[in-house]
Amino acid sequence: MSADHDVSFLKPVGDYGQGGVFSAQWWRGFTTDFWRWATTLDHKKIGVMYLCATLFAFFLGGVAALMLRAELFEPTITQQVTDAAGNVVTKTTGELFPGWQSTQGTVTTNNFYNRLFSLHGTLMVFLFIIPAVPAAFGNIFLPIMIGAKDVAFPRLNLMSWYIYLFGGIFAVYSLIAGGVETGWTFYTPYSTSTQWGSVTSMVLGAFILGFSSILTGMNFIVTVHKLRAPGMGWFDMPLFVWAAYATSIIQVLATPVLAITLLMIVFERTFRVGVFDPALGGDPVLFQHFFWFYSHPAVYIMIVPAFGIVSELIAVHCHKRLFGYKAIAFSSIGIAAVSFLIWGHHMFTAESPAANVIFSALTFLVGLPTAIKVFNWVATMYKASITWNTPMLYAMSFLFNFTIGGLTGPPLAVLSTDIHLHDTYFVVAHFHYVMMGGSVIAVLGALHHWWPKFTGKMYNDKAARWMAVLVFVGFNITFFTQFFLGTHGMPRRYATYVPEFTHLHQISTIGSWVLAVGLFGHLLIFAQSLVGGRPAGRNPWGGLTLEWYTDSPPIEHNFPHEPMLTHGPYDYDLVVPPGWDPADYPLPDPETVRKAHGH
Amino acid sequence: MTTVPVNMTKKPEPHETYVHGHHWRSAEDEKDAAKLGMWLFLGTEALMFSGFFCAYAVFRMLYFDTWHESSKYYLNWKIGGFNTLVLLISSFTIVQAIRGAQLGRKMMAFWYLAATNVCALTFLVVKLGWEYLPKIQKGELPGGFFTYGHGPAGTTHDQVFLGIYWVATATHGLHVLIGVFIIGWCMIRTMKGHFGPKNYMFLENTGLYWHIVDIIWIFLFPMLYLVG
Amino acid sequence: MTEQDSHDTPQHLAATGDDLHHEEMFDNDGHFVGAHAHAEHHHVTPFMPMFMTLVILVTLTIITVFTAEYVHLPGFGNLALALIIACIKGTLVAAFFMHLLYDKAINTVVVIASMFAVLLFIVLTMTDIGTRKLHEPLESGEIVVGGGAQWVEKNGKQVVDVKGHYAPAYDAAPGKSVLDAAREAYHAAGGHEAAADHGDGAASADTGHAAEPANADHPTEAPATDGAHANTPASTEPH
Ligand code: HEM
Ligand SMILES: [Cu+2]
Repeated sequence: MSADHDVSFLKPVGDYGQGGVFSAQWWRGFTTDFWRWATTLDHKKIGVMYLCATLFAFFLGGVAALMLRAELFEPTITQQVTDAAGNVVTKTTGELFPGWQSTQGTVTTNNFYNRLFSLHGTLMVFLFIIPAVPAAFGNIFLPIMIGAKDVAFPRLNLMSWYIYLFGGIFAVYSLIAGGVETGWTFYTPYSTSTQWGSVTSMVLGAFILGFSSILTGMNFIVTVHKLRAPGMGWFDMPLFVWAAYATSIIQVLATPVLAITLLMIVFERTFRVGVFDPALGGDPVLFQHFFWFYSHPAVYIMIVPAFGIVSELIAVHCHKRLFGYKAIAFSSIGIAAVSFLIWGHHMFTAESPAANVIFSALTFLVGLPTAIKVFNWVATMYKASITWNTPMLYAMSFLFNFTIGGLTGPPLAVLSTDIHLHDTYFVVAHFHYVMMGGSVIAVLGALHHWWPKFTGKMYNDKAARWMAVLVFVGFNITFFTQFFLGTHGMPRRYATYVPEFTHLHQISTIGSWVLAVGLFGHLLIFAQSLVGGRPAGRNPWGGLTLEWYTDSPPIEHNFPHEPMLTHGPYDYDLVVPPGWDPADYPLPDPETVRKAHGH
Repeated sequence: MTTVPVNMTKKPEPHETYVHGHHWRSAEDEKDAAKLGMWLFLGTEALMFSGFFCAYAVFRMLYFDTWHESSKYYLNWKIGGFNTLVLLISSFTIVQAIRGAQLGRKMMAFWYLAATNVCALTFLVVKLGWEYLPKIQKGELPGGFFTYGHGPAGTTHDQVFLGIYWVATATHGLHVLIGVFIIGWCMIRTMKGHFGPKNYMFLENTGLYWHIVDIIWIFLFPMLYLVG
Repeated sequence: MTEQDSHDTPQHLAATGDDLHHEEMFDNDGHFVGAHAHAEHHHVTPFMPMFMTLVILVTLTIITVFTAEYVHLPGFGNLALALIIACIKGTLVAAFFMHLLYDKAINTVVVIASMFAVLLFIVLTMTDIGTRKLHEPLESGEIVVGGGAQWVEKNGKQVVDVKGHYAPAYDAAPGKSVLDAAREAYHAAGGHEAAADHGDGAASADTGHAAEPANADHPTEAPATDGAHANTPASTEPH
């Protein structure tokens, strides 16, 4: 192996000279490295680029969310009041964002609010959560965790990154060109009939992003099948890999339907095909079937990789063999399978009663595999020597939030209650508990868990723990109140509300500020770590999976030699973690271990 | 490095010296992976077209009788049937092209590929010239552009039928067109000697793609043309 | 790619060095055929089975066309038959032309999983739309904006009134089923043959055919709901 593959994948190769940023030599060096990154086939570099892009989308979506909450701080109330001079005037209070005149007509505060929540939804779903775990963390770590040099199709991987960029540009263009007001769900007939905003380009953007997702999924499935290190059977794979594999199955099988759905919207808008248009003999409810056939499985594209992350976090920071490895592994596959059967639960108010009954019954099935996971994680923590660092705090935060989010699913899956709760803030709270409290919290946990590995630097763990607490508290203040709002009848997607809801809305908005402070704090801590963090070493947490065997940051080809698997991913009772002193890590008596595992 | 005594009578062709990508353990693994990846892609193709099939199924169920008339009225099974045969034959010829590569017979592969492309182009010409053009002239266009006054049903059902006909066949036609380019590229690569008994993966995957295009047509044909 | 190629060959040859034989690296003509010749057993596509597949496929196509055009089965019979034959044809192409029969089983698993997803999609969607009339009787063609449509007279024409919005609709007498109107129009146009001469729509509009779609005059007119939705929050719930 030639020497230049033995250095960190992050190490710049350009010759930057001594002149600093303003010298021509520096720019030549920069150009070299820029092209090296732009044309790289290295899965880690592609993953890091994805990570930056998705986090940027998270930032934009987050700003939109803060604006939404700010608008809801006070209800918009228009009243006739008598002023000092005794004249009756119309007075509007509580509108934060004024309307304006655009080329397409007057954009009222309500229109602006619609655009904001559509922007927030599309950015968060299509540009952030769906690619964040598989395409960012999956790309960086999946090949290393199975001991491969790269993913199966490196060129396809690079292509999927550029498709993602291209789709993102389309989406951002639509915002500048007028935005959309349809929400991330693009329901017909609104999305097909509105001449307002730029639905077509936004829909095309999401269509393109779908292809990026499909390519990543295909790549991972083949990688897992064909590139596992010698000695690694299916049940020696880390659970993150199992989760990524299950996610990939959903990506490959569900995303094409999204593609055709969005394409149909474009066809409807440009050629007026009529499939979703009742005036032409079509059926708008059919769109909802098309959309949710993808988008329900898509919520599992968002959460299943997070399950994988949490399995890793809990095993590593509890230093303990995971309880029920196979149960967790199979439940990921089980979720992937069941996720295709239950899309109709988003349409209880739109579909036929017979279909309602079927979909409601099927929906309860998905509670099983999810519960299996939660119980196994809790069982793993039982009597473990837990290290309470930031990643572990995030794992705990995930367990708490996800359990609330999961348990508020069944009330929505019950037909009689959903009639009341549908399209209220209860649903909003439900899916934020699973997607933000679950997936985003897991992403933050993964960032803190693997940061030392892929940057090679430690961060200030104490400060990060405080920020984790802020995020947890802020998140719960923001969204727990929304359960009450929903049960009291506050509908979603409105810019205003009756004054009775003011207190709850204000608590929620204040919570969003706490949350924002926490996230911003994390940003500062990471920035500090990049500049002045101490070197992390190979294995700061004592993990056993293969990524902890290689350098931090990993070398170009991940491992100097092809690794040979000698122990399972969670054999904490049998193996001293690589890089750790056996004296610091007393293993239990082998005899007890053997008995405990019933050999 | 072990030196291998090489007594070649001629310069090896690219396919003869190809080993495998740097991250693979063997050429066999690389080949299996490429094929698995291709099958996954074919799965996504099938699911993408399933959107049309689903819309078709729903409206066929709702408009059972009128669609029967619409199909008879707007579409000519003879054209559809001819195109079906053309695609079936092209599927066979591309299989033979792969056989040519497997046997190391370059010209056999080349000419069978050429035959495949002739079929593909025939399909497109028939589709455009004998179906799309007359339809455009008569105004038998999808949904909102439908200007042809009196269909057999005279209802919106005609418009949905034609809507699905147009989007489904146009999407399929686009796949055929893409196929023409890929097969053309295969012909060039064949002549450059990229395919041989040990290395014909690209050719084989092109074949797989071409077959799925054929299979989709196998379903579209009875659904649209033989509704009677 | 080039930057990465150099390192891997020596290791690899070392691993397989034991069973490297020169005979296997060169074919009978002395052509270099690569170091991995011995490891691979390629399935060469046979001619006859493939040709027979083609013959069967063509035969099946003829059978479908024949049964569809000249044999009339009751109800869904023809459709079912045509689809069964199409499935057989698809399976043949997949098994023989696409080599599934000779390939690793995992590829077949992928196919079955995808087909399963396709079926789920179609069947469960049809379950919804097909069972609507159990709840609210719907005739075919009655899917209209907002549901609960009525026939009303507007500008001397019968149109569908949906809660104050007028959906562009075909002319037909109130109370007459859509299908009847369609049939009438079809036969009024002289059935299949006469209608085939359908060059100009304008002429037929003059003769006042009952079946002319009202929106034929305004082919690009937006659906009636536009105005109602443009300025409300995007919670668009069809009922
Ligand atoms: C225990 C399992 C779950 C059940 C039983 C469940 C059930 C439901 C139901 C019935 C709805 C529709 C509510 C309505 O609109 O009236 C819903 C909405 C939603 N769920 Fe879940 N859910 C579960 C888990 C999840 C997970 C894990 C996620 C994502 C990671 C998720 C994300 C969503 C989203 C995004 C929506 C709202 C979509 C929208 O209308 O914009 N759910 N859930
Ligand atoms: Cu769902």
